[in-house]
Amino acid sequence: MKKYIVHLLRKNLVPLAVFTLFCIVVFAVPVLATNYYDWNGHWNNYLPSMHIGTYIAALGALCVIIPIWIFSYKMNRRSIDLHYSLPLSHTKVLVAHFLVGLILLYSAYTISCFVGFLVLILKVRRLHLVYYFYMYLSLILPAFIVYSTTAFLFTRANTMRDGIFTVIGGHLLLPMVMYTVAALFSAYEPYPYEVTGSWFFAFTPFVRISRRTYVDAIETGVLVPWAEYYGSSASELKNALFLTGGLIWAALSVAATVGLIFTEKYSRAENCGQVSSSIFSYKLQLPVYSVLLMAAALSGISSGEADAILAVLIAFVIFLLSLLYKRTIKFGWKYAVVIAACLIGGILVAVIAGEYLISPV
Amino acid sequence: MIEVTGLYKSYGKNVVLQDAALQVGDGDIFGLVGINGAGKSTLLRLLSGVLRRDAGSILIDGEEVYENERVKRKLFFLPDDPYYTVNLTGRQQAAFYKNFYDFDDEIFKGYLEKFSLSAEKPIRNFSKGMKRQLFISLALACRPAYLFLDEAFDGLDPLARLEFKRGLIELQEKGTSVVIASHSLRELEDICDSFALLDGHKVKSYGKIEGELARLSKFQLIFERDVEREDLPFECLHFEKTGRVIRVVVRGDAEEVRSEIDALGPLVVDEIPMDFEDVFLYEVEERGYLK
Repeated sequence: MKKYIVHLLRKNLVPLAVFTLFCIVVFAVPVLATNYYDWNGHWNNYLPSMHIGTYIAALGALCVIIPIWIFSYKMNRRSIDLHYSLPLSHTKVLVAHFLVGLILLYSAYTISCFVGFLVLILKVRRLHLVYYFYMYLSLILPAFIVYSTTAFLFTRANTMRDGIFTVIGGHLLLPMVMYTVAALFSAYEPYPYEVTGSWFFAFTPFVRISRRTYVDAIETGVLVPWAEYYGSSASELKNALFLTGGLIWAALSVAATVGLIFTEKYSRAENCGQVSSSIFSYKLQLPVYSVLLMAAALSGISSGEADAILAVLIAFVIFLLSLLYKRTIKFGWKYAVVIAACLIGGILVAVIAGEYLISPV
Repeated sequence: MIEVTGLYKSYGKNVVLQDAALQVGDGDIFGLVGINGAGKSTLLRLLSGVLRRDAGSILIDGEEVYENERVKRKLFFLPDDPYYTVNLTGRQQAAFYKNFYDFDDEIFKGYLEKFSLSAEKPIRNFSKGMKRQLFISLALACRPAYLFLDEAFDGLDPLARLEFKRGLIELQEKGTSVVIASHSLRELEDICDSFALLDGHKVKSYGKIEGELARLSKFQLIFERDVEREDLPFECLHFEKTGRVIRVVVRGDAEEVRSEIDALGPLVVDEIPMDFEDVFLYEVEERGYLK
C-alpha cells in the first residue's frame, strides 16, 4: 500500500502544483493589486486580516475539488477494472486515495499559505504574522470536515455528474432544513434577530471555513464553551448557531470517514456509470428537497404572502433534477407519486405551520 | 487451479451468470467463448476480484479471490479496453506495475522491440492495435501465475497475434494459467487446451477442445431422392439443404452416425473436418441465436 500511495503522490504532482498555484493566485494577486490604509490612515501599514476571506474561499473550494478529483477513479469502468484488479483490497485502494487527497489538500494549503505570508511581508510594512499563523492552524480541522463529507457524498454516486449533484445536495440539505424552519417561523412572528441567512450558512459544512473560525481563534484562543454562547443576544445566538453547526458537521465528518471506509467492501463495482440509486443521492435528496423548498417558498401562505410562481418554479426544478436522476422521462409511477406527494406535503407543511403551529401576528 | 462453482451474478434485475461452474487447471490455456452479452467479461471481472459474486464460490488455489490480496497478487487482468491517464507512457505504466508484480524489464523491452513500440510516447497517441500490443507486453512482463485476458486478440494484426500466442505458450510452459475471452475462435483453437461456452447465463459446455471437436461430426451428403430433416434417423444440430446437397452436423460418435447414414443409401458421403468455430456456431445456433 505504501508503494501505491507513493505512486499516487507522484502521479498527482502536477495537480498539486495547479491546486497550490490556484490558492496562491487567489490570495496573492488581490494583495499585490491593492494598496491599503490602516486605521490611522497609514499607507500599507499594519493590517490584521488582509484578504483573508478570499484565501479562506479558495481553501473551501479545494476541500470540494480535491476529493472529487481523487475519487474520480470510481466513476469510470475502465479505471475500476485497473484499480480493483490490483493486488490490493478495494478498501485499501480507497484509503490510499483518501490519504493522498488529504496530503494534496494540506500541501497545497500549507505551501500557498506561507507563500501568501511572504507576499504580504513584501507588501505591508508592519504585519503581525501571528494572525496568519492562527488562521493557518484554525482552518486545518474545518478543512477535513468538508473534505471527508465531500468524499463520502461523492462516492455514493455512480457518475461524476451525479457525484457533483450529490455533494451539492448533501451539503445543503441540513442548511435547507434549518432555513425552512427559520422561514416558517419568521413568516408569522418576525424573528427578533433576523438570523435567517445565518441559519442557512451555519449548517453547511463550510461553517467553520470562515473568518469566524479565525476570529474565534484570535479573540478567544480556545473555543468558548457552547453553553456560554447560547441565546442571550442576537450576536451570541449567531455564535451559538455557528458553533452548533460546526459541532454537527464535525460529528458528520467522523461518521462520513468511518462510513466511507467501512462501506467500501460492500460497494458494487458494476454500478459504475449506472443510475445513482444510493439513499444518500437523488433517491432521498429529491423528495426531502421537494418538501423543504415548497414549505419554505410558501411559508407566508396563511398571511397571503406566498409566491405561487416560485412554487411552480420549484416543481419544475425538481422535475429537471428527476430527469438527471432517472435519465429518462419515464420516471415510473411510484417515483412520480412520491415526488408529487412530497411537493404537496411541502404545501401542507406551510399551511399547517401557518394555521396551527404559529400564532399569526 | 481455478474452481468456480454455483456462481451467480446479476446486475440489478438482469441476471448475467446463474449457477456457472468450471475448472481451469494449472498451466492451462482456457478459452472463454460466447455470444455478445453472454457474461464472459463479467466472469473475468469476477475472477479478477473486480466484482463481488452474489452467490457461489470462486477459488484460486483454494482461496476466495474477492478482497484477498494474497490471491490477487498472483493474477493479472487485462480488460478489453485498458485504462490509462492522458499523458501516461508505456514506461510509466510499467513502473506502476512494478509496484505490484515481479515485473521483468527484459521481457517488456523484448516485446516492445518485436512490436516496434516506444515506451516513451504517450499511450494516447497509439493506434488501437498498438495499445493492445503495449498492454499485452506489460501483461506478459508481469509474469503472473494467472493471466485473465478480455478480447485478447482484438485489434492485433496477424504477426502480432502470432507473437502474442508464442508469448502465451512461453508463459504456459512456466506454469501460468491463462483464461482468454475472445471471439477469435481460430486463435483460441490454436492455443487453448480447454474452453467454456457461456450461453443463457450458464456454462453451457466446457472441457477439452479436442474432446468437444470429437463429439460433433459434420457430413456432406447427396441422395438420389429428396431427403428432409425428418427423414434422418438421428437428431441434427444443424441441417442445411442446397438442391440435393445436404450438410448436417450431428452430436455423437462419428462411426455410428456414418453407418446410419450409409443405411439410407446416399450417393455421396463426405465427412468434413470440424473446427472450433463450427462448434461455437452450431452450439449457439441450437439456441436460436441470430436466426
